[in-house]
Amino acid sequence: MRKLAILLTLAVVVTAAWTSAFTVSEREMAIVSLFGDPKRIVEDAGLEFKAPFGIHQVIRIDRRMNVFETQVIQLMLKDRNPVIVTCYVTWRVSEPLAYYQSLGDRTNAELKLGDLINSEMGTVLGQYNLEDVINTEEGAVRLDEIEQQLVANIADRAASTFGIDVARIGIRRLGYPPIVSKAVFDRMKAEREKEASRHRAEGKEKAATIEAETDREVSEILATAYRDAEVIKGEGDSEAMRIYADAYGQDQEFFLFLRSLEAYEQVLDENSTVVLSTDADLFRYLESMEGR
Amino acid sequence: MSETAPSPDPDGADLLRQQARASLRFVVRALQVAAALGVVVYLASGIRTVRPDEVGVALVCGRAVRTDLQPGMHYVLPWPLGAIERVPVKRVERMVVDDISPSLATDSASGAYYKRTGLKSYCVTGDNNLVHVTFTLQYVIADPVDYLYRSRDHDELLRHLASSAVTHAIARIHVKDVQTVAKGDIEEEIRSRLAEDLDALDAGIAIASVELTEVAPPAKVQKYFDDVVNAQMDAAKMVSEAEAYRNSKLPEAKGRASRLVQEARAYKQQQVSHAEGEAERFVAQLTEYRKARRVSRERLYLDFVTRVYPSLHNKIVVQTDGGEPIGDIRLQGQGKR
Repeated sequence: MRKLAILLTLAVVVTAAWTSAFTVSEREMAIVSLFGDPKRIVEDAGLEFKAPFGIHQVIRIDRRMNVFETQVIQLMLKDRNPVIVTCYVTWRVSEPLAYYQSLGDRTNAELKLGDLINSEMGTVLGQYNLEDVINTEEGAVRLDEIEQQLVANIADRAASTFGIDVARIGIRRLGYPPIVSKAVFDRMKAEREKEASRHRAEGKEKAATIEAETDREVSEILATAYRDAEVIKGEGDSEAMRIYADAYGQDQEFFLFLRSLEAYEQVLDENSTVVLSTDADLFRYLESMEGR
Repeated sequence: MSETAPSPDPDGADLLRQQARASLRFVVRALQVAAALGVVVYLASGIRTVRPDEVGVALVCGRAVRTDLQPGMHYVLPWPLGAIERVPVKRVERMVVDDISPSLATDSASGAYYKRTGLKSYCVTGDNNLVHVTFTLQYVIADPVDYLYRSRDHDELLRHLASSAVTHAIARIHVKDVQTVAKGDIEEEIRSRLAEDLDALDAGIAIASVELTEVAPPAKVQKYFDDVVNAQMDAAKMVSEAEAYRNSKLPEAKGRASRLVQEARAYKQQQVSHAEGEAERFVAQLTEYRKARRVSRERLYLDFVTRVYPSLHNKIVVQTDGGEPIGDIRLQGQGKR
């Protein structure tokens, strides 16, 4: 009988110990509640104690960073351009109690948070033009600013209402509604066609330039060469003339005599008819032994 | 009253009792050994190994007490007090991100949207063109504690961050550069942005590499993009043909030019040489002539006459004494002397 009592007591003590101790992992925080009424919040991991036998319940809340993507929404920018946007959102629970009471679980949290962000996104993006969202100019794209503004607008409300710390909202997808994207496709097509014909025209122009330049250079080279050649020939001629003049100038009469004889020799051939006067020097002795 | 008389065989009864006692002792002993063994096995269950590509985190009652258990054997408190968590820090994980243009099959929120609208997703470039982008990421676990306890759904997180980084990067780039010159820039921008984000968010992972594997214009306009490439090649071809023309024409012209000049030089040389030759000959003749003017002159003249006249067929000698022609004298060719 006594043994039984001891055994029973032991069982009760062990069960009490077993049900009053609980561990909190590094991944989570815990709310200790009395039949649903929160009594204590455990924020650090380790061994904890509570009232045994299910008097206190432990509600575990994940403390890690979560990420989700918002529902796709279509918005108007300030310049009336419609865009389709989704964001990713990273968040973690900062106030377990507020979080537990207002949202309860992750699915609900992401639903509410997504709605909040999407409605805020309409407001924020409504202050920007398309050129702030996409732009090839350095530093003209203000997506980062938009994202920071979204976080700034959301963070306080998320913290106070939901006990959530929103770390970052980032624009993940950016697109156009079908009717706009069709227009964009048409424009892309037109731009590419223009680009292609520009390349071809530039190629043709460049080729023509090269050919024309070549032709010009060719005629330049030939003209220069012709000039140089004529100059050289002129030098030859003048040199020759000087040499002749130097030589022939020594006895002009003798030169004329010699040159004339040569010229006659050239001029006369077998078909030439020569009428000679008997007065010619050749016939000096024709009729006179003594000559004339 | 029947008396429990001593057994007729007391020795036998004693033996039985002894045997019973012995077996009881044996059972108790066996139980003790089993219990001791159990305790040993229980304590030994705290021995854990950390594999070569891992780092271990030792837990006591859920609290991390050591976060840098290197590969090898380690002892932690046995269940339910202690535990170990192992993180494969040295393993490089690979991820393909192609859902910036989500496949229509995904049943994520956006996937459903694109399915409903029949719209394919894309990135918008800085000059308002649309491109599809696919890229490959490699990452490693950088901080086991952050990885385990500060973040979750790492693949999802990385996918979102990377897609956002791409959206940002593409939004400021010309479509014509996306596929070519800016590819490296985009990769670098994605990488640095991702590294910054992952660090700021305590994600516990680090990006090892980013590679754009596909950047393509939408199928509808692909052929126009291709035609631009063709046009560039056409243009290059035209230019190279023109250059070939130039490369053949210029040397030809230079050849002709140098030929002209060479010919002119030859002409000059010829003129001068001839002149010098003739001049020398003349001077030589003159020198001799000066020694005996009259005779030389006569001889030269008569030489000329005898050399030239005989070959002339028609020779008319006219008597011009008194100034009137009196008849013809035909000097018949006498042949060469």
